[in-house]
Amino acid sequence: MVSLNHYLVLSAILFAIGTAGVFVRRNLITILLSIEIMLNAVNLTFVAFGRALGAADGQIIVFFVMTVAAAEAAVGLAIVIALFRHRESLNPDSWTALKW
Amino acid sequence: MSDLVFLLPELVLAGTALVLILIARHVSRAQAVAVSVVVAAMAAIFSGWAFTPEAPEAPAAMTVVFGGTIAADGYARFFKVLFAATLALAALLSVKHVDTERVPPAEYYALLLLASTGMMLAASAADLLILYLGLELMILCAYVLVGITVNRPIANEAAIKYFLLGSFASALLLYGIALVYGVTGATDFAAIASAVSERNLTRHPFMLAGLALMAGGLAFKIAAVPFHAWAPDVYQGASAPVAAFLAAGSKAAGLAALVRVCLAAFAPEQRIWSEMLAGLAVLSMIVGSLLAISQTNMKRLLAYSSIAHVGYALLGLVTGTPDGASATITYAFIYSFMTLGAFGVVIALGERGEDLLAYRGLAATAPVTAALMFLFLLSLTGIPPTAGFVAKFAVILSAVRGGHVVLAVVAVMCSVVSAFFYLRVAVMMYMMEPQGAAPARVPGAVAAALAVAAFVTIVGGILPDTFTAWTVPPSLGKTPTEITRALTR
Amino acid sequence: MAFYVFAVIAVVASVLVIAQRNPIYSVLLLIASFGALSGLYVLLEAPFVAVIQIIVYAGAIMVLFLFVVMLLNAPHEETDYDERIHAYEAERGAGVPAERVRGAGAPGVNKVPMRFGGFLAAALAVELVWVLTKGGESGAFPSGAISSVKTIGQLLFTDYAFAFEVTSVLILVAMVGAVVLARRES
Repeated sequence: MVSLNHYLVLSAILFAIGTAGVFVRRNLITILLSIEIMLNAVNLTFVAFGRALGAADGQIIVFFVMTVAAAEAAVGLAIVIALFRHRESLNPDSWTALKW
Repeated sequence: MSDLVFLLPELVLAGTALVLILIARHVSRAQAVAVSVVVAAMAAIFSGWAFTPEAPEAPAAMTVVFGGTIAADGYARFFKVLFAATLALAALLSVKHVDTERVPPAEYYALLLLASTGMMLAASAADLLILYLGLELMILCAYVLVGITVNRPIANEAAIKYFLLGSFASALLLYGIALVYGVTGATDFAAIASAVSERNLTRHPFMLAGLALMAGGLAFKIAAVPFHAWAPDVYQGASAPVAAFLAAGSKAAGLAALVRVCLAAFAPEQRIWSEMLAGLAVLSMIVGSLLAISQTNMKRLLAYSSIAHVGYALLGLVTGTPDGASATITYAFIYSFMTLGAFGVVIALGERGEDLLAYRGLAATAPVTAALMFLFLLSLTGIPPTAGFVAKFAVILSAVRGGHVVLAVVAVMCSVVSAFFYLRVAVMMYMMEPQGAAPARVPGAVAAALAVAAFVTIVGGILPDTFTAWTVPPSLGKTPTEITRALTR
Repeated sequence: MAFYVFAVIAVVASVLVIAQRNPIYSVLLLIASFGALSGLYVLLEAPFVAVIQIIVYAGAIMVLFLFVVMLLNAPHEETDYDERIHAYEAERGAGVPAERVRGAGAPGVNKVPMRFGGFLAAALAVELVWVLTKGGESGAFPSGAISSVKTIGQLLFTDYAFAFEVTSVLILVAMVGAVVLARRES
């Protein structure tokens, strides 16, 4: 019997994978994708909780999260494009003007 | 429909932004746009002031509108006034920068306006979803503003760094919201608080994890250690007016959201978040003060100073008392003007203003500018006749009263350390030989912004109650519910 | 049973996303992961979310990513870890004077965030799974899920109308921001 906990554990695992991607990868696109994984893990949590609570709020919040994710992706990719014009690289280590 | 009147400040700013975006093609000079933004900010202050009612003696803790998602209360009004004022000053400080860097003026100011709208929403949110959306609106505009000078590689790097860490922190915040929603079944603050106390969820693992994740996400917004790594790079990489706007506005917005969430939604969890915030406060004060010492770039110095200041500001909230919360939001208010003033001097000096060495002998070549800088530095250090002293005194006093003597001692020691690097700049200005030519004349818009910041810094110091009286009346209870009621009066 | 199939696909695809060197494969794998999540939404009786997940997330947002990857003609992630460290050090030596405080431990400077990140992610995973298994109260889901599009639409335009308007402003910011940031100055 699949219960709420199954979904929550799955979303926790996905969230952790996203976190790992943000810190471990050295490619901007992959880091952005990792953030998308994290947001999707959160969405799964919302829908599962909404189902368990018998309320539609969980699903509705997911729409807002998706909208925010789309807006974030657009801005983030625009910054990547602007940056790429100067650097021709997606590796954060190749920028030296600011310390990381 | 009548609920909309409480959102007039936001509507005025967003409406102005829409008009600016529509006429963007026909706008080439920053000055006219800046004037319209200042007028809009003043209209926002007026409408916020005039139409937000004094909270009635209702049993509910907050006067909420829009189905309980927006709080129309004194707390929101206080921050709306602050954000509108920050916007006006930032608009004035930006004029010259926008023209010289060839930034599209209409878009630049539209983003400033929308960022301020987001801050206002975050401060007036009574629901975690609106809080999240408000903060996202603010920070999305902030990413763009930081990177808007696309020809400067350093600005691009600052923008991407801000973006990556910022969206990571937003995801943490959101996961926290999801867990809290799951365990309480609600996203509005009042329902969360009542669910937690009625169903005795204080120690529920979801609640604790959600609280920790939300604290992390919000700590990023206020740049508290260990979520501070972005601040120095972003302030250095962004142009000075944008850095000033972020240092003042986004920090105050984060604090506004944090105080509201802690006191309204998680009042029953006070012991837990007190401990977390105490840790953040101590780390922020120590790390911020120590790392500021070795800086040679004025914007980085101010960034580390902002990290230390958020530590002081949190001291009030840590106590969880009404006086403490009032001290924290007063600190946010006064700090905004001090830091806008200090960044204003950096902007007034132009390109040279970023280098610490440029301040050598400034008193001889530009006495008025040097005097203003001296005033803001005194205030940032917390030396008596200035507003900075009043604010710092209030938070330390509330920490002592709340029994957090160790925190108070750390705060005083860090203030002493910070006096070293603030006053070193003052010594450079007054006791060293001038270097190079005298700086160019300060533009009128910058001078006006500096005058306002200096006015607040002096008046807040001489008449200490000017800016505190707005928030919390003197007679207050001790329980979190009473605090919430008092804060919203 | 379907849950485990979708869960395994989602986890494996996500792990591969962050394990890939070529960003194009990463994007495509993420679409696979989103497809599996969409299946999970169906199992959770949220068909509308499932459809939106495919149309908006996989269809629009991921295509935007793919578009940018193609536009930049993004190279594979550069060479091996050690080589990158050396290139980084050399560049640093020639570049802007480093900030002194943190620059002190220069040789290890790049490994630390990665190790820290791996550790953080592992700790987060352990903690979250522990919390979630410990805090779980009810086993099975109640019957009678709210899944009709009508109900959701009504809520969206009544209770959540204000949030809906805020997101419209958010999208506007994203548009203006993308245009401003991607402009090319003559």
